[in-house]
Amino acid sequence: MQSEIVKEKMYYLRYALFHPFDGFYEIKYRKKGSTLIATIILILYGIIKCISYQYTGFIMNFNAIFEMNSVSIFISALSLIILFTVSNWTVTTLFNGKGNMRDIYIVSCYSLLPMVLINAFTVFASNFIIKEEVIILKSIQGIGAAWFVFVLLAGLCIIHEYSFAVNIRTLLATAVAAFIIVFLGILFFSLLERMYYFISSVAQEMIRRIH
Amino acid sequence: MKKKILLILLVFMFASAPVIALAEEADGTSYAFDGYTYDWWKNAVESPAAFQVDRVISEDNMEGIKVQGMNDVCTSKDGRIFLVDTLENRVDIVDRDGNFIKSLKVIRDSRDKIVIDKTGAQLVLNAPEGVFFQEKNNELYIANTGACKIVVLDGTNYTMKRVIEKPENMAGVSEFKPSKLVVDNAGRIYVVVQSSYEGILELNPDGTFSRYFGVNSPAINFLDYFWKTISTDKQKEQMKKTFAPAFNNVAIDSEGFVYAVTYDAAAEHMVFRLNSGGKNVLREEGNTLVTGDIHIRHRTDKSQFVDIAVTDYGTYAVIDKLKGRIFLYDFDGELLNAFGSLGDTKESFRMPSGIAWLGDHLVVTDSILKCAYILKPTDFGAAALQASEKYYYGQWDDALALFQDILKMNANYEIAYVGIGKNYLMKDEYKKAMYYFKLGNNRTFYSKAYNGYRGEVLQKHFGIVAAIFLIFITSIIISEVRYHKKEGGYHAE
Repeated sequence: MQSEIVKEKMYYLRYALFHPFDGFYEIKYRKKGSTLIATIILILYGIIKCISYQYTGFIMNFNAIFEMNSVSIFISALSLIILFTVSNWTVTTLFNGKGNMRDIYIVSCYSLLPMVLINAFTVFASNFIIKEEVIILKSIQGIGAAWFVFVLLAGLCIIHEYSFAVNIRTLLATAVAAFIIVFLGILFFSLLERMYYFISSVAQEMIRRIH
Repeated sequence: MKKKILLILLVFMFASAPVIALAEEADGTSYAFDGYTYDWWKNAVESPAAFQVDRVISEDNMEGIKVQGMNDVCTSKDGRIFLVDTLENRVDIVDRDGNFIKSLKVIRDSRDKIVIDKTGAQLVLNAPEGVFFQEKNNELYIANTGACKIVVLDGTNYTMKRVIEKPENMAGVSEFKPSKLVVDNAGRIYVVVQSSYEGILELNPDGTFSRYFGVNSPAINFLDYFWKTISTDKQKEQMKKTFAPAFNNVAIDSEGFVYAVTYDAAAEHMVFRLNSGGKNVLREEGNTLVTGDIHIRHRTDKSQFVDIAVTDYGTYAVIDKLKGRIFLYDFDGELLNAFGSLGDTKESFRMPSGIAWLGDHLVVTDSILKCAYILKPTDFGAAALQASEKYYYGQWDDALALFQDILKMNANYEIAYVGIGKNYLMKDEYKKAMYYFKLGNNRTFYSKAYNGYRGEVLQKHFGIVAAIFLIFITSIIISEVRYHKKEGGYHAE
């Protein structure tokens, strides 16, 4: 029973990638999506980011491998998607979007899958190419990126029941919202740091006075 | 217990700190200079300095002639050093060991009489700023800046040959105030006039004006550009005009290319290699552009090159007066080494003003310290210069041995890795070449080596490759056939 549900959800994952309009309709209204699968894809995306940083072939790899920080790459890859999910949700709730946070999360993670698979292939293939063939791999990567963008746009259109123009407008608003979130986050953490130093210096002062 | 161990560790750390500071360089000698270079990621990486101070030429060498500050230097092939003392109005001549030969102030003719010019005054040097020795005609050119003249002397007994005054046919608005000069083998004189925005002044051998030479384009300032696009013509008239930055010094190589430097912060390029048309043909193929230090906070922190010295094999040294550093670049514009500093300690500079090659030694003048340093190459520097020379002349095997030596002294020297890699690539030893190109961070040549290597592997295992390819093709055909059968069956229904 359990395995059959998973099988069905995997089927709809594949269906959504090739027929995003129908697929995400099914996922939203007939509950064929799975946050678990979405999370697995997201983690895969983080891992493939780390792998491509280190294991892309020398000819295509311009990264300073000696100062690689896999944790920071992983977290920044994940937080970008989560930031998008949150900020898109905050905007679309104001603009009559029908999708809830779960839908947005599933759409954005599902649409990552083609890019993840294609990047995995290009990372592997980049070890066996010469400089003249870099352009081929770059265009394959471009296909992956275009696929990602297309599935994402289509999925967002469906789950929010938006027309294309409105969708683009909300995406621009999403970028602004994401910027504000980041700004507030930095503000919050810097205030927290100041508060910490204030309290710790007061405490130090007290300890010295008491002695 | 733990605290004790910590204490002991701390003591050890402090005790070993001065040892670390005095640590010897890789080739076993300790140098006064700290060298560095830039790697592919544009990080400054440590490197032994290429030169060390060999000898100081100061007033002690001059047999009673006063020295107030040396502003320019040039050398002859036979090892004479010509030092320009602007404040004392002298050109001092010493040999390569620093022994005094002659000091010029009053110019004499071949009968040892003092030359009298048209107005009846003695011809004396008046605040000279530049000097150049031309090997071919054995002539010594002195830019007699204060008197707005160029004095040409015989190269052996320093007697008067001729005086070049302001040419009558000179065009443009530049003053004829020669500051630095070089002369090519055909006798054409290239004169730098400080703060002239028209370029280098080129004079014919007979002293007539030929043309302005070389373009020093200013860097584009986008803010200025923006204001200029939206302002009216009347406003534009009142704005400050952007003039081309002046050249500040020149040198000439054996092929007749004129090298020029500028330290104007507004200039786009810092070092120029001008072809006969006056176009900049300097190669900048290295990890960084030929601009000296690259990690700067502000435009005014850019390295300020006051002089340049070129070898026959295209390697050139430029000296920066802002930080007192000497940068060595090879003909490709690859930074070989940077070293030197400003300061009050022995062997550091205060206001470096001129640089010249003396064989493989460098002569550097300093206008505040009132002395000239003769720098001799360290083991690393000598190997690096020689390798650069051999490489330039295509003597690959000699270069290979030198590069391997260099790597023992300086593992951060990417040029050596690439050089060794190229050598292996020419011998079709692709695997080794790939290894070295990877260490040298040269992706273009790595790609070439890998292409050869891949071809070799494919040839060796041709059977397997062909089999995989055949299986792939047949599987596609089979699946196509099956698909069409299915389709056909569907349509038939």
